Amino acid sequence: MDTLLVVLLVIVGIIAAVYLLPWQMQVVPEEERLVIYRLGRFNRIAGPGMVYMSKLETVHHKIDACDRPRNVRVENLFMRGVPFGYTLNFWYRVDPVTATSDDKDRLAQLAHFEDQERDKLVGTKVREALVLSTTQIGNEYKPAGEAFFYNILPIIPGLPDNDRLLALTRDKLAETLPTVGAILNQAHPITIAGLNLSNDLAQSFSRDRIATLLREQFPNLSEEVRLEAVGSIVGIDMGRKRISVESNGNANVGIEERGDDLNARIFMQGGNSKPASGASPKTVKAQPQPDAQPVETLSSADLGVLKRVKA
Amino acid sequence: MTNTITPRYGLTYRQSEITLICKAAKSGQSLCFVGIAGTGKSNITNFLHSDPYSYKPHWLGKETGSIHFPVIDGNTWDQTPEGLWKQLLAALTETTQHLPQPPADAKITQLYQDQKALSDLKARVNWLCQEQKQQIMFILDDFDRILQLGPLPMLEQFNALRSENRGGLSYLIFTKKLPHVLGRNHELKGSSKFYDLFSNQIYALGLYDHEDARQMLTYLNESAGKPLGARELPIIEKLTGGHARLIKVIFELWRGAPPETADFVAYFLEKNDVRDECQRVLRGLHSSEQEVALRVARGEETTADQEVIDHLMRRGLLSNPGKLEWFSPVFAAFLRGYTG
Repeated sequence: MDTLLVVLLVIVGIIAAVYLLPWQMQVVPEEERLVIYRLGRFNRIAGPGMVYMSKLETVHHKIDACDRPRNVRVENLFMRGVPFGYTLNFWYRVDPVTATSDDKDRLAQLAHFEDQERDKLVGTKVREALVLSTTQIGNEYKPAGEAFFYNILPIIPGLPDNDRLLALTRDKLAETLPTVGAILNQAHPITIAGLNLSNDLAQSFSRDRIATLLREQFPNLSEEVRLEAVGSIVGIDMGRKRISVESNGNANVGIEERGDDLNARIFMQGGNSKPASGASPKTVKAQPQPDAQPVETLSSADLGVLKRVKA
Repeated sequence: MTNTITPRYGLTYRQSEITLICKAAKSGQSLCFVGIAGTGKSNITNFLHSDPYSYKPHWLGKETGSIHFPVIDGNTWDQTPEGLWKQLLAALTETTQHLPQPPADAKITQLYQDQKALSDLKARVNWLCQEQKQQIMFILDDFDRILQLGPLPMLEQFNALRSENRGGLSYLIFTKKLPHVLGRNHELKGSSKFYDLFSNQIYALGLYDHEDARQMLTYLNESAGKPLGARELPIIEKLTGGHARLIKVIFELWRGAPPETADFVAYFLEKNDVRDECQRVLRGLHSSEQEVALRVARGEETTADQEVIDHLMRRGLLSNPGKLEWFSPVFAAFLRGYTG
């Protein structure tokens, strides 16, 4: 009888070992996480590095955990009755574990979203944040004049009210993105990659008219910021090409080229549109270029993607 | 006696590319062709989409009627996701209007226009692929600006659409520049599952071979009442190097005012239409390709340029590794005299 019991215990032990002990291993790269289910229920998020799983566990899906800048487009916003849209660029990463402070129930709710579903949820949160911040700025804002133009000043990138709008949006996103499992990277500013006005609105005033109005309203604003502000409005032709590194809507370092004379200007400036000390604008004569466009450096890897069709 | 005109392209037109495309369409794989401006993409899209000479059965066999090639022109995109989904839906509806229509789903009402447009597109694609067992290969023509502007979530919808219809839905993308370089702003390579769909199948779309160029010239000449003789057509072929649009431009110029000099290159290079076409080809290249091209044309290339030179050879612009030659003597002369 005792022998039978021992044999049974050994068999049960072997079965338990097979099913419970780690029997498969995966190497998870730094920018990925595995969502692991056990017997059809969420168990944990694992990675990066070596991940061991028992036979009862399966990888439900992978999460792209890379911290990177992304563009999110939000339409149908209103500032004092004027409809507009923004394309915001900001950095965030998907990290449900940090976002939920490892709360198991909450983690289980957030873990089942795949990347595309989460992108949509992030889009919703961005919209929420923008609606709240535009409403607040709109309520506080006192237009300096009756003209319609004054109503849209707070939405134009680079201007003081817009900097406040972005700061409010950033605070709101830092608070709400974790509710969908994402973490805002506040080391990078939120920038406005595009301001979308309806075609009727965008065409109702020329860039020169906007630039003039901005000059009247903000006499201390540098020309670069003024041009940047006008240039951000989608649908307005700037008639020039520009490469710039941006910070909070203000251009910091750039090369710009205007008109047909190929005179390129290198400019440097700090925040609030003031030139950085010792960095006065320099004018250089540009060499004739095959095409006036930012140089797209092509690495070996870039060139290597193109194959020849085999005959 | 019937007066038949030689078809614009023959049964063996771009044989290698068409074989590749048809194979991909049958297996639901996506692919991308990168070709210089004016290289003759429209004939490929015509062939696949409307097939005026009924060549498709030769390539697709009994699946000809069940594989559809709706065409989207990226140049007419209004820069909104809604506009893009509407373009796709309109093209798909036009191509498949002879098939049963999907039932309306009254249970779902989308609040936003772009979501409604996408939802309508999904419904139609799913209906065709899943219920009607059809295959669709969307031809995304001149897609440079769309890849460049994105945004990424919009581009990723192409992958989402395809995920629901694996094996049934695929994309044939045409660009002038390398797709991942166009989409560098939103890290297309590395963060886009849409890009992953075709990242291993990005091919150079070269110029016409001798047979295709000859066929096109014969077609143009016969359509115009044979104004040019058998001596002139090979000269045009040589001058244009198989570049479809240059063939057309130089043929028309020759027809209007035949050159009275033996220096054909100099004669045609003075013509605005030819210069515009050469300019378009040059400007359609990546800026670093342009720089190397100009150095090669002036004989000022360096060893550091070799990778880009090899790349330009893959694109069909240059040939003969020993002594580099441009595809067209007219284009070579244009580059040599280019001053910006």
